[in-house]
Amino acid sequence: MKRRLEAEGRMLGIAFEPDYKFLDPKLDIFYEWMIATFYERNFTNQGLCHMFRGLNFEASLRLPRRNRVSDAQRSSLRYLTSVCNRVACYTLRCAVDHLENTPLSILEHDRRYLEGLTAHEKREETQRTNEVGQYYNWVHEDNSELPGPVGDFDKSWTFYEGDREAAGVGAA
Amino acid sequence: MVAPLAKVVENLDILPRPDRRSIDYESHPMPTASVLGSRGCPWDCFFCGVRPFYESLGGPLRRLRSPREVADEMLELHVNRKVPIFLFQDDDFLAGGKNAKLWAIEIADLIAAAGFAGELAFKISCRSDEIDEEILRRLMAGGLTHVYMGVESGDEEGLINMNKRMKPESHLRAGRILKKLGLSFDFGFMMVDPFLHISQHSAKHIISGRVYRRWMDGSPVLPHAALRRHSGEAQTGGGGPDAGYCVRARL
Repeated sequence: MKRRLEAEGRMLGIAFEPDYKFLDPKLDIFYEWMIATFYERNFTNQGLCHMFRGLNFEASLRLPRRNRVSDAQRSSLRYLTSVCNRVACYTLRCAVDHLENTPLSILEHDRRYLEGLTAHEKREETQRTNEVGQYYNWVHEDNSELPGPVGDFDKSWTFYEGDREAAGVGAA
Repeated sequence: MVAPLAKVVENLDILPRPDRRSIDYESHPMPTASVLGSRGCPWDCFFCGVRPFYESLGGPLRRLRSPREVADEMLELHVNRKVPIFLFQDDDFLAGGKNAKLWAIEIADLIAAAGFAGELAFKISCRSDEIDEEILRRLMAGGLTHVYMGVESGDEEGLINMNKRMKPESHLRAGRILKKLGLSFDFGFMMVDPFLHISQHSAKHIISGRVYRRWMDGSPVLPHAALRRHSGEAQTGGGGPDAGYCVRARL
């Protein structure tokens, strides 16, 4: 990959921080937009991806002396996960369609459509986050020692802010 | 400053286990521990630095700790430190053909034979074409609860570009099995291919693809792009004397 990108004059960065230009300049625009739009969702502990990974993990735990997530709760979680995915999917598709159908010269100067998509995605994420909070309270209303969301990002599998290793630091 | 590459330790069992004395598992309501059962990966996906890193060291592409050693480390943490959840950090827990599958099964069997079946849970990462119902059932008997798969692309061309050496049908089959078994799973895919124009781009194929549609309800989707530097999400792989730097940038 490195050799090919170098041969095509697209390799950037250094060995520890490799980067490259995409084959199509429109993809560079798409990429930058995607990072700005989905960074919190996908790569932070506050993000929905982290929370859903953890909650789905928790919902499938079959450990003794732990309250199980009920079938109704599991169905609800599956629905919320699906909605979250579909919204992200819709946002991404709209962006790809827009970029594909708009001349590069316009895209370079006019990002209003993409900014609107970002705002839409953020609004939806706020709504989903509220719903996740309601789900969490429903599952944990008895104050049971379920692990809570054990996820991934920021190298953590849990909301717990105590010991990092015990909380799953390094999990991927 | 550039240090020489460390010498490969072929027998990982001679390495001491991680010193976890400073980790306060006991005060956590549901502590988790990260465990490595192996180092390396034999696959050569074009976006991944794991194989080039381990290849540069020489030695086998994937080295396995003995199942007994892995199981003992887990059981010791469970019995003495009350850890119920284990997160295997192996890049591909099932990589390496039949022997690797038997290795994984033996770990689960040892946990079950020690009387801890159902007492602990663990998570692995693997490829979708390594998902096998019978193997997973055996692993579940030892506590397998969650599977992460690097799916990367839902269309055949995208998988070829990434040198994944598999077809989308593997993803679909894996999803069916995982759902049937009631395992939680999640997956990542590469949104942007460095060698395609937007008009032929896998993003559209993935988004409209069968894989994504069928998995959408059970797993949060995690879009990646290959080897970009901006995210700060680069991971270091493994630990110990010969584990160094394998960059698997998420974006």
